[in-house]
Amino acid sequence: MRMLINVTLAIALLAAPAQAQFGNILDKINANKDKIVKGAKVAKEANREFTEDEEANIGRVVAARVLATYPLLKDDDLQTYVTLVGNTVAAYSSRPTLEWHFAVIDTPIVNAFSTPGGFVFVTSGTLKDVHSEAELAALLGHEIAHVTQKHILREIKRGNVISAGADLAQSATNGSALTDEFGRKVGQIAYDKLFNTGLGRADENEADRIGVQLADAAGYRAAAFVDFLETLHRLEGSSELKQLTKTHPSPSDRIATVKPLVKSDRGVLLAERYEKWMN
Amino acid sequence: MRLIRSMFAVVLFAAVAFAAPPLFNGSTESKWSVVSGGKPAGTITLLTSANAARAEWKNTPKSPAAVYLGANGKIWLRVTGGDVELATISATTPENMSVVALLLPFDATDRQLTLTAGKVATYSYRGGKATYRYDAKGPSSIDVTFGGHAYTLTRTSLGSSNADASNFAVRPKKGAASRLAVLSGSLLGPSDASVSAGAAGRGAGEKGLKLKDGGDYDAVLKLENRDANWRAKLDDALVLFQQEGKVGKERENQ
Repeated sequence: MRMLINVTLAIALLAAPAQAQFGNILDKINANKDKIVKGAKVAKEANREFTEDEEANIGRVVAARVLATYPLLKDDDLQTYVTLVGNTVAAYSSRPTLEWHFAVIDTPIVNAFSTPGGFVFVTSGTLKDVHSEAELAALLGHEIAHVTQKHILREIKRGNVISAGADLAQSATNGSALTDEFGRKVGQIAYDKLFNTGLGRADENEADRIGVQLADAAGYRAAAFVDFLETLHRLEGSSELKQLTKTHPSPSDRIATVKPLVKSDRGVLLAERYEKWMN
Repeated sequence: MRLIRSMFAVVLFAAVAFAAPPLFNGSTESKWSVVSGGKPAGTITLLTSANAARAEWKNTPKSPAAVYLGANGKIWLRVTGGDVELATISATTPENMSVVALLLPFDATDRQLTLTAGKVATYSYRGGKATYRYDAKGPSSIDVTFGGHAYTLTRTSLGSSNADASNFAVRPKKGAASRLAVLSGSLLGPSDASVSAGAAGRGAGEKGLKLKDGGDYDAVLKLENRDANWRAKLDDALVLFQQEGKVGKERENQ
C-alpha cells in the first residue's frame, strides 16, 4: 500500500512539469506555425513529380552543360545514323512519344550521357570502340532507360533546388523559378553525377537491364552489349575510359549482370552496316 | 557425253545469263490487281517506254502510291528527296516482290530466268519466284511466291500510253549515306528561326531557353531545331532504315 502511494506521489510530482513542458511545445508550435507550414510545403514541393514541360526545361539546362563541356561532332552522316538507331530503339521504351534528341559529341573519351527530357549523347570515342549496330542500339537503350526511369531527374530533386510553388515550365521573365541561379545549381548536380560521381549501382544495373530489353525488342542482338562491355573491360586503365570507370560499375560486374539476360543468337547484329556508316 | 555436257552448258547459259526480255514492247499502260489468299493485297499501274518502266503500287485505291522505276539496268524506289536502288533494300515486302516481277528486265540481283518461245516463263529473284502466263496481248497473270507467301498478279487492262519521259526520269540520291540523305539537315549551320517554339509538341517546355549558367544553349537550340526540321522526314527515313536492317517497327510489318 505504501508503495502504491509512493508511486502515485511520484507520478503527480512528474506530471506537473511535463504538462508545463508540453504546453511550451504547443506554444512554440503555435508561434512558428507559419514557418512549419511553409517548410512542409517546401518538402512537398521538393517531392512532387515534375511536369513534362518542366522536365524538358531541366533537360535543356543539363544538355547545355554537357554541350558546353563537349561540342557536337561535325559529321552529319554520323549524327543521322545515331538518330536513326536511337529512334528505332526509343520507340520500344516506356516513353515512345517523348521528344528524343540523339547526338554524337566530339571527344575521344568513351562514355554516353542522357538528360531528363530525352537528350541522349554518345561520344565519338565510344563509336570507335563499338563494332556493330546492335552494340550501339543497346548502348543507346541504356541511356534511354536513364531517361525513362528519371534517374538524373531524381538526383536533381534530391538536391532541393526547387522551392515551394516554383514553376519551371516558363522562363524567368514570366516569374518562374527557372533562373540563372537555378540553372547553375541543376547544372552542377548533373555535372557531378554525369562526369564525377555517377549514379547509384542500382540505377546503372536497371539501365543495363532495360537497355538490352529495348535493343532486343527492336530486333537487335542484345547479346552484343556483352561484346561492348568486354571491349570496355579490355580498355580499363586507359585515359579514354577514366571517366566511365569513375561513374559506372566495373565492366566485369556489368557483364555478370547482363549476360544472364540475353540470348546469344537472337536478333540482328548489323556489323557491316555499322562499319559502312562509320567510314 | 560431250554433247550432253554441251547441251547442259547451253541450258545453264540460257537460264543464268540472258537478259530478261521486256514484258511489253513500246509505250504501254497496264493495270494489275494483286490478290493473296483470295483477298486483295493491292494494285499496280505499270507504264512502259522503249527503255524504261514505271510501276505504282497502292495498297488500296485511296492510299498513297509507292513509285518504282526501272531504268539504267536497275530498279529504283522513290523516297522523299530522291530515288534509291531497290537492290540496297533487303526487305521482301509484297510490293517489292510483286513490282520486281513486272520490272524484271531492270533487276540486276541474283536473277535466274527460264524462257519459253522467247518469253519469260519463270523468274527467280531475292529468294522468290515469279511464274508467268500469257494471252495474245502479253503476260496476263503472274504468280509470285516468296517466304511462304503467294500472290497472284492479274492484268485488268492494257492500252497504249502517252506518258512522257519525265515519268521515267531517275533522280538518284548522292553521297555515302545517300539513302538517308533526306535527313542531312546540318547541325553546323545556323539555327532555323522558322521552326516555331511550339513545334516540339508535348512536353516541349520553353524552346530557346537561355540561362547565364555556363551552358551552351545555342548548341541545344541547334539540336532541337535540327530534329524539328527532321520530324516530317524522319518517319520516311526510319521506314527505309528499318526495312533495310530488319529492325524496329518495320521489321514487325514485314
